[in-house]
Amino acid sequence: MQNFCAGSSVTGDGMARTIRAKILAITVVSLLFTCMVSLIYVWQIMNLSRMLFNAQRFEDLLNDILEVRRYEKNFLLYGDPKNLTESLVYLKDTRITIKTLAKDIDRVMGKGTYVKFANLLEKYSFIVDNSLKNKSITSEDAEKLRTYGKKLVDIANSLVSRKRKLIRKTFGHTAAVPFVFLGVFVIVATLMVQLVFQRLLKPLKVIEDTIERVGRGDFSPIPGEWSEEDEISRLIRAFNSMAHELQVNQEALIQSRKIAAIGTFTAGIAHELNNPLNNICLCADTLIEEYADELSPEVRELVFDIIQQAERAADIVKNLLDFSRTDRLVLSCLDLREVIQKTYRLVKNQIMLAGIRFEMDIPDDLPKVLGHFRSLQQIFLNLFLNAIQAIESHGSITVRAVEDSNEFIRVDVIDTGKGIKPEDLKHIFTPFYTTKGVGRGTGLGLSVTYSLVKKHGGHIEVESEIGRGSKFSVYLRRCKPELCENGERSVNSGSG
Amino acid sequence: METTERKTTILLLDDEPIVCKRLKPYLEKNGYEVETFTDSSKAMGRIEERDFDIVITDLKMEGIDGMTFLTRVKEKSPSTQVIVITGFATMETAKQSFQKGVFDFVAKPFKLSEIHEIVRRAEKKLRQEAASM
Ligand SMILES: Nc1ncnc2c1ncn2[C@@H]1O[C@H](COP(=O)(O)OP(=O)(O)OP(=O)(O)O)[C@@H](O)[C@H]1O
Ligand SMILES: [Mg+2]
Repeated sequence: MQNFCAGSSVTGDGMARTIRAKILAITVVSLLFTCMVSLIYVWQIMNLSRMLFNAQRFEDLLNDILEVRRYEKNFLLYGDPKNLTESLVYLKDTRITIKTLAKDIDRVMGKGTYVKFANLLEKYSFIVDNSLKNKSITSEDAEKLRTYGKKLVDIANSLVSRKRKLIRKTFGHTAAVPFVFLGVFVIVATLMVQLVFQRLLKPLKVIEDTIERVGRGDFSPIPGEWSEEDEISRLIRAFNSMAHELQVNQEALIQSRKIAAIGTFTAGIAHELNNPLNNICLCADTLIEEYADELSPEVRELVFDIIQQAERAADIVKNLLDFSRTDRLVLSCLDLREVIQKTYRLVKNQIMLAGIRFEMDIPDDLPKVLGHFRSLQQIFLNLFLNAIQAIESHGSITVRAVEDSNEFIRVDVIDTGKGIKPEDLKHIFTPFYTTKGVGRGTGLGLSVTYSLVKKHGGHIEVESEIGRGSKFSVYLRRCKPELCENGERSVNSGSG
Repeated sequence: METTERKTTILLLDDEPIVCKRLKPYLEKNGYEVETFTDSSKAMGRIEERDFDIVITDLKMEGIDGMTFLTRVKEKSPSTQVIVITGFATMETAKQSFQKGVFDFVAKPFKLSEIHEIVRRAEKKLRQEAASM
C-alpha cells in the first residue's frame, strides 16, 4: 500500500476539493440564490402596489388642478368672484396633496420639480387671493393666471403619464424575474450534471472497465494522473495500489505453482532414472574391477568416461530430487556464521583458484536463524557457485547478514560478476533456466535454492546490474525459542 | 581365514536384477557366501529357513517393502547386520530405519567398492559382538 491515506487530515481547504463539498457548495449557493430571487419578487410586487396607489393620487392631483382651472375659466369669462372662492378650496387641497407627494414628484420628474410646482401654485394662489380681495382682475394678471394654470396642468399631466410609464416598466421587470430564475437554474443544473459526469460517472466507467480487465488477468493500473484529493481520485489510487499488490501476489503464486508442478513431474522422472543410472554405474564399475587387466588403455578410458557421465547424470537427478522434495524440513536454531563457514569450506579451493576475494561480514551478536543445516548449506552453496561462475577474472564475493526486522534476518550474497540482464531476471528461478553452455549448467541451482528458502518460511530477492554484479538477498526467519524443535540439531549437523 | 572360520553369509535383496547379478560374483570373489533375491516374498521365505550374518536390502520394492522385510529379519535374528540400499529421495526413511537397528545405508548410485567397505565394517562389528559374548 502506497501513501494512500484514507480520509486522514482533511483540512479546511482539503474539504473544498472533494466532490461532496462541491455538491454541497453548489446546493447552498443555489438555495441562497432562490431565496434572494423570491425576496426580490415580493419586494417588486409590493413596490408595484405602492406605485399604483401613488398613481391614483397623481391622477387626483391632476383632477384637482383641472377643477381649479375650470373655475379660473368661469371667473375670467363671467367675472363671478364665487368661482375664486371655490378655486381656493381646490388650491388648498392641491397644496396639501403635493406636500405629501413631494418626494415622489421629485423622484418621477427629477429634483427641484416639487419646489417649482409649489412656487407656481403659490404665485397662482396669490393672484387668485388678490383678485378675490379686489373682486376684479387686471388683464395682466389674467394673462399670468392663464400661463401659470397651463404650466400647472402640464406638470400634473406629465406626472401622471410618467408614473404610468414607470409602472409599465416595473411590471416588465417583475415579469422577467422568473425567466432570470429559469436561466440561472439551467446554468446550475448544467454545472451539476457536468460535475457529476466528469468527476463521477466517467471515472466510474473507467473503473468498471478496469475491473473487468483485472478479472481477465491484466493488472495494469488505471491510466492518467489521479493526484487530486477528491473521493474518486482517492478511490482510483487505492484501486491502483490494490491492482499492483494483486499482480505481485499473482506472479508469486504462478511462480510457486509452476515450480510445484514441475516438482512433481521431475520427481517422478528422477526416481525412475535413479535405478538405471545405478545399473550403468555398477556394470561399468564391474568392468573395471573384474577385467581391469584384460582391458586396453583405450577401453579403460572409455569405461571411465561412462562412469563419469553416469555420475554426472546422477548428480542432476540428485539436484532434481532435492528441488522437488515436498517433505517438511525439521527446523532448528542455527548459528549462521557456522553455516556460512562450513559452506565456504566446500568451495574454498575453487574460490582461491579463481583468484576471488571472499569476505564475510556477519556480526557476532546476530540472532540465530531457524533452519535445516544441510538445506541452508545447499542454498548458499548454489549462490556461491553462481557467484564464482559469474566472476570472469578477479572479483569479490561478500556475504553480509543483518537483522532485517523483528521476524527476518537478511543474508546478502554480493558478487562483482557480470550481472544479470533485466529480461533474464524474472526467469532465473525457473527450473532448467540457464544461460550457461550445454554441460556447464543445468539451471536447477536457483530453483532448488528458491524452493528450499520457501520451505524455511523465508523468501529470496535479487538485484543486479550488468557489468557491476549481483546481490541475492535471502530472508530467513529469526529463531524464536517456541519455533524450535529441540534435539534435532545434532542429527542435522551430523549428516551435513 | 577361510580355513579357520566359516564364510560370512550374505543375503542380498533388490528388485533390480542387475544389482544382484553384479554384486553376487563381486562379493563371492571377496570371500563371502552370497544368496540373491529379486522377489521380496521369496527372500522372506528364505530367512525363515536360516539366519544370515549380513542382509543387504533395497527399501523401495514391489510387494513386501524393505522396511517390513528388515523388521522381520531383526525380529528373527537380532545379531544380523542389515545394510540398506536407498534412492536419494528415501534418505529420510533410511534415517528412520536406523531406529530399527540398521547398521548403515548406501545411496544409489553406489560403487562396488563402497558396498565392500560397508560389508567389511559390518563383519568387523559381527566379530566384536561374537567376541564379547
Ligand atoms: N551471481 C550471478 N551472476 C550472474 N548471473 C547469475 C548469477 N546467479 C545466477 N545467474 C544466472 O541465472 C541462471 C540460472 O542460475 P541457476 O543457478 O539456476 O542455474 P545454472 O547456474 O545455470 O546451472 P546449475 O546451477 O544447475 O549448475 C544462470 O544461468 C545465470 O545466467
Ligand atoms: Mg547455478
